[in-house]
Amino acid sequence: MIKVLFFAGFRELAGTDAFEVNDDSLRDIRELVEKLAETLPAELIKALKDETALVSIDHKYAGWDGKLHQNAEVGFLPPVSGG
Amino acid sequence: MVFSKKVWVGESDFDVGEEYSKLLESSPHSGAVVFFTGLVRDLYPTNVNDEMVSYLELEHYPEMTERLCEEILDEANQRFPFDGATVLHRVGKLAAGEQIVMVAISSRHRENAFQAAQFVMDYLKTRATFWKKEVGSKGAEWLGVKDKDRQAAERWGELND
Repeated sequence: MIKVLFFAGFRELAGTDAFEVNDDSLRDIRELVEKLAETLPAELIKALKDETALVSIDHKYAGWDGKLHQNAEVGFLPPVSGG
Repeated sequence: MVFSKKVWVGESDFDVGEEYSKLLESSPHSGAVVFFTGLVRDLYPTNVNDEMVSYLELEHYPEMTERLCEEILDEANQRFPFDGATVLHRVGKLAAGEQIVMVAISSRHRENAFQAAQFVMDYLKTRATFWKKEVGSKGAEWLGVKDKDRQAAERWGELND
């Protein structure tokens, strides 16, 4: 199982802050996004693929090739705007 | 250089005077203290409508944010060694004029305190997992990284991570 979290604008596009994916064959973030595209809004998927979007695996920034594992927590993070 | 570190993220307001005293206590050999406080502006139009901002909503990714703030402080300390650092960042609903963020650095001499405070703010804005939503009377919009903030962070070069 992979736990997927959406923050800020991504949460609003997804209509949920968390989503679980039960597919152990997914190897990386790229494959995970393709899987999410089967059920989540196209507008969200487009935003996740934008070059300004960030992603984390187990609370660390990762890339599109970031490797997944059982019980990974993946965060989809819009461009940050703190301070 | 070993330094005292305080990172806090939460909804309540903070008292700059109190934080100044605590920072001095934690770094008794310092000769310079630099403080930066960021406030909610009311004078800029929102990106969607030409109107005033009513309030901001700030959220973060708790499991990432405090650790990222600590990493930013460690990196700043490697580049501009200092004695003590405090980073406070508020989340939740904040009205115009309220304090959002505070960065304070104490060091032996002023140069490192100024540089480190600048470095920490630049990276807080471009790397720490906070998100701001501007809410006006006609709508709301999530903000992204501004080009000027990205350029400000890029002048320091790559982070060692």
